[in-house]
Amino acid sequence: MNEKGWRQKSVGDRTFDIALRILLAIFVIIVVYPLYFVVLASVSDPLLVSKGQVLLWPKEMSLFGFQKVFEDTRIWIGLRNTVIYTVLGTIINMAATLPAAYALSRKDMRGRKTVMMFFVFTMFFNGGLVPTYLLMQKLHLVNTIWVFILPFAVNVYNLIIARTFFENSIPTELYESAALDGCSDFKFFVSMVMPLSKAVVSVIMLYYMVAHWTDLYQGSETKSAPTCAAGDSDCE
Amino acid sequence: MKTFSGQKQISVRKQEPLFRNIRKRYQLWLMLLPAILSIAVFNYGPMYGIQLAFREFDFTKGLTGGEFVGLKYFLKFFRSFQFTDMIRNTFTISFATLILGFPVPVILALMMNQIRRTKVKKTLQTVFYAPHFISMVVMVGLLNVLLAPNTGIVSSMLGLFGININLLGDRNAFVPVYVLSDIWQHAGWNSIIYLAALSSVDTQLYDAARVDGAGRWQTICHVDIPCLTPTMIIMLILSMGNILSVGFEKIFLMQNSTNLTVAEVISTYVYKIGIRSNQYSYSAAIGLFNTVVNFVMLITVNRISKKVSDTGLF
Repeated sequence: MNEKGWRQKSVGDRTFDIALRILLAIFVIIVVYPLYFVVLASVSDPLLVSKGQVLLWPKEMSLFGFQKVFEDTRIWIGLRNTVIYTVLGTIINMAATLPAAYALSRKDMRGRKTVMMFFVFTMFFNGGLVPTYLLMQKLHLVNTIWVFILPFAVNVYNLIIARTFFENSIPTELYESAALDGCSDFKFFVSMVMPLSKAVVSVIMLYYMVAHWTDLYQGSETKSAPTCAAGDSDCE
Repeated sequence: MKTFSGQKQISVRKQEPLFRNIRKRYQLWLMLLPAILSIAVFNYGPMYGIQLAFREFDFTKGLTGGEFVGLKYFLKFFRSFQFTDMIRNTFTISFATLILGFPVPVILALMMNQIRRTKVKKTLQTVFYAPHFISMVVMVGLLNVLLAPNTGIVSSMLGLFGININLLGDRNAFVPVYVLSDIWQHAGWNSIIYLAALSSVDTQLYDAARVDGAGRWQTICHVDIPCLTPTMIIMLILSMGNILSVGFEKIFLMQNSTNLTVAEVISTYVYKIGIRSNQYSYSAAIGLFNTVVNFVMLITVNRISKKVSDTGLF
């Protein structure tokens, strides 16, 4: 809370505080309970869980599920691969997206609208599953680790978020004065824009990381026949 | 170009020729280059395959060698008996998700922004983000347990209020269950973008508001929300452009024989027709129809937004 004591606050602010706390508490319960339930279910007797008798605390502790997980070596290989793809993929994503977003946010760059159209168009038009697979095959990416890292280095959605941020929070005057002192575009980006944009950089990084982490589609599409899509159990 | 953009440029200088501008700004173009290359190769590269929608697919002749059949597959789709159902389902699900789901992240962000103690705020953020990381398969499994008739906790609680409904089997329950669980899972995560926007609000504005005697509620209404509006509009336009592309995985996993009449959407149909039964041309045609509708929506909403609020994507 700020410097004012509870008594000095206006009635409105006090009501606001109380309402805020109650609402947040309700939200927390709604979000947390199902998650807590997953933990409960994982350590309880499966039979009681399916009967709906496990609600608040674990019953008949059983670590059967975890035992199965630790015994399965495929899970560990999968985990290792996912970590590698996530780290490398995110680095490439950031290196391609952020400079481009900054360049597109500069109002003194001509042709940026056209380039933006070129990017945005791909959000709503794509070639589809089969042509994409055939392209990967032509580029010899299929069955290599690059297929997880190189394609789709730029997510246009994230690019737009970053561009909007740069446009609104990097003042034109800042660049102009830096340019007067002989600062190049590169240097300005690295030593001024990046430090000023930590908030958006971390958001974009998080978005990319989660996308890599939960990516099921890319793997199933490019490791097997082109007729496989996400969730198709026949193609494992 | 100037009339199309509609964006107000503060500095009104004489525009230099494109070539001179490129030479002067070559570093910016170099920064753009990796992104342009990536998009050109991986997004535009496969696009030539769209012609598949107008051709018979022939394995021996490849993508472009098949016989040209014009609009045959589009007509087949429009005439199929599932067409109206599917369009209605898709629109219902995505509009419900949009209308109910859009305000929640904004409200969450505004609320979390009110918390001064960073520790509490960080904890809450972590809690609200957590569901996003649950994979779709686990999520639907979770729904199956929590909403199970008789034994599930949600069903028993609704039973207390006298509502007895099979949340998993009843056709009327499908859309609410889908939308509400979607909000549950993603609202916290989607609030990140608004929190980031709020964190860059000029603190002088808050000071000025306090000097003018604004309470916290008034500060939200007159400082926070106006500062969020550009971000909100961009997010709205983007989600309008995806109006026909409702999430495939979740709907597919939630489908069962009793709710199929309300749960069959375009993406699941494309999957079943195209991938399962190998009708590539037909599925490409439906996919193209889907993208065309999305594109028209996006352009329309963007135009309206430009006219009304001067904010837009392009």
